[in-house]
Amino acid sequence: MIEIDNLCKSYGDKHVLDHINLNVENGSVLGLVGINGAGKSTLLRLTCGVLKADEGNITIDGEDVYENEKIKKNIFFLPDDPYYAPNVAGKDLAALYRQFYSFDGGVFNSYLDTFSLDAKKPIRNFSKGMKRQMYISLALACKPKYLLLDEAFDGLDPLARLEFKRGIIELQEQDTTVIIASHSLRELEDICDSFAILDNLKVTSYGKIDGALEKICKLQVVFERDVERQDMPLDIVNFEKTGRVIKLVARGDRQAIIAAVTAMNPLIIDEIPMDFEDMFIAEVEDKGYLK
Amino acid sequence: MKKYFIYQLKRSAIPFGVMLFAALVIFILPLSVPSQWYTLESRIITAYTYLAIGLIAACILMPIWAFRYKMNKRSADLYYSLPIKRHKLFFIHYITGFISVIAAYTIVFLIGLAVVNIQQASYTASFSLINLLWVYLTSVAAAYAIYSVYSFAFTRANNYIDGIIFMIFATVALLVVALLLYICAIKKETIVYENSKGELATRYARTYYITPEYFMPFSPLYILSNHFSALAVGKKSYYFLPSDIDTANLIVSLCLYAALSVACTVGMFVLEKRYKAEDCEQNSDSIFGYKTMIPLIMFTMCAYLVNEGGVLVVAIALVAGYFLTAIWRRSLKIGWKAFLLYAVPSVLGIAAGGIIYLVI
Repeated sequence: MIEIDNLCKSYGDKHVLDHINLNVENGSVLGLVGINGAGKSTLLRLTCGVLKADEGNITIDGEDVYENEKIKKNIFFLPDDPYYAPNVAGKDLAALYRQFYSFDGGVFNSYLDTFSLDAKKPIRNFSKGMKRQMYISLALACKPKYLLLDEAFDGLDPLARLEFKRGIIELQEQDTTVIIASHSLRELEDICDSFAILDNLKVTSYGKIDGALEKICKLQVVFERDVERQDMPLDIVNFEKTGRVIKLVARGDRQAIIAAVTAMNPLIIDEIPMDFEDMFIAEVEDKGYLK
Repeated sequence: MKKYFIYQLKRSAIPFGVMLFAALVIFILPLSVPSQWYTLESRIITAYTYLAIGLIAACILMPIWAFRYKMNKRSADLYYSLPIKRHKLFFIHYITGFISVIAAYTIVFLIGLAVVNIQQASYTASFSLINLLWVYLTSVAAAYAIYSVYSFAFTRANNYIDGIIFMIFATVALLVVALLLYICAIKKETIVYENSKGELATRYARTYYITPEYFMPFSPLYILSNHFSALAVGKKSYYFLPSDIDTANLIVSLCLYAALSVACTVGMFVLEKRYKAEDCEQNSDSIFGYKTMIPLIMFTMCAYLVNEGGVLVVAIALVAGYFLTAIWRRSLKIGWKAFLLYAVPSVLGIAAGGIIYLVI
């Protein structure tokens, strides 16, 4: 299990993370989301030991991560822009990872065949998506117990995304814990069972995705009279009004929310299905990030 | 760690091959091609001098290759996420870099030894193989000093540009101090003599006690290599023992760089533990870089040039110092703190130079 306890990190005078507390259960796939600059990549780098926390700690299986060779053997970190030297090919990176991980050449070759990649060709000649495919092949071949992915879907075509998601699910079946930081919320919803939203230096929301979606409700309501946000007896996350048509997102029990709105005698009340992306957008819009 | 050490050693095959090829070209070819214009003795001395220069170049350039992983955010993400402690990672890159240099040098040296041994058999000159072995041993020791000093300098930086500039600083750090001492530590003598008209006249003789060029990191290797290769063919070295002053300077330089190489080796590993990965590609604010070297260089160069260069040269030095500060701050708007770091020592240096000029 990954335990993040009162984690703080700053870059000089700029605070990035402030007293982050988060637990990631073994075998779960956590989607880490947040607006640009929220600290997702920093959190991943702290979790895999690239960065050292200013305060607090990150423990994996009860041991501190930073400079811990034993624990880091179980962690594979794939950043958003992985490094390769000018003439390096996939086989060269595989040789590097073999020194540290239980690298499965069969799995590596299998994904290379699936993605139609040549491990002998220099990575610099690959397209963005092909590079991502190569690194995903390397990551999955290392069979880590903890897989940390930053913008893993970036550049992948739909088929490659499908293969990647299958690979993640296979790892999850082997009790691998995965943390994916991504802006592709629809993709995350397909494979993640839990989520954490980073905002304003903190984790503002986390838990199971299904559970979170059950506690939030999106309605389109039309009133005869003029109704404002403060008139509604609800925990409103997002409120949009166009004339007499109101679109609102509210937290709480779905039936109770509908009952409360119905009690206000609307002309029309429609429930709009919500997905993870809608939930995230509602959260950040409410905070004023998207105008 | 052992696995990664062997892996990194294999990866060093490329720079090893390049160094080997370059050394063979600059050393073996001139040595083995007979020449009607140059004696065997002069060819041996010249060839070993070229080999020393090649070794110096390798020891300066190799740290850039060995520690490039620290100079790029993306490579830092890769290497620092690997399950290996940072000081072990650092040590493996450090030692495999040096091994590559010495391995190439040793192979070329042995080939050269065989070539020289064959060639000198036809000569009756007083050839001494032992002195060539001394060339090897002193070169390896001096090469380690150069490699450790330049590795220390390069790894104080957070990016390639600063790393190379810090290596230039390492080259001139002691040289600038020696230059200042050079103009201070002199003995002026007034000599009275009879001129061509039969009149009594005076002239001034100066004895300098510092040999500044001995205080660059590669000077000991160059001088020792030249000295022992000259001895090997029964010649006198140009550098060693031309005067007691030069001998004393060389001994001080050797001791200084021996101490410096130990200090740099220990310092690198101690400081590596405090290194923050997020500093990669940021401005380099190490105390062993711009913060110390700009004031030191500006003070000593201004003091020296007031005495030996004149107003125009001092003005050029001031402009150069400003641009160096701008490179540090990555902007022509260097800020008050950086300006003071550059300007105050410059003014003090000019004042000190003036005092030295008047007093000495």
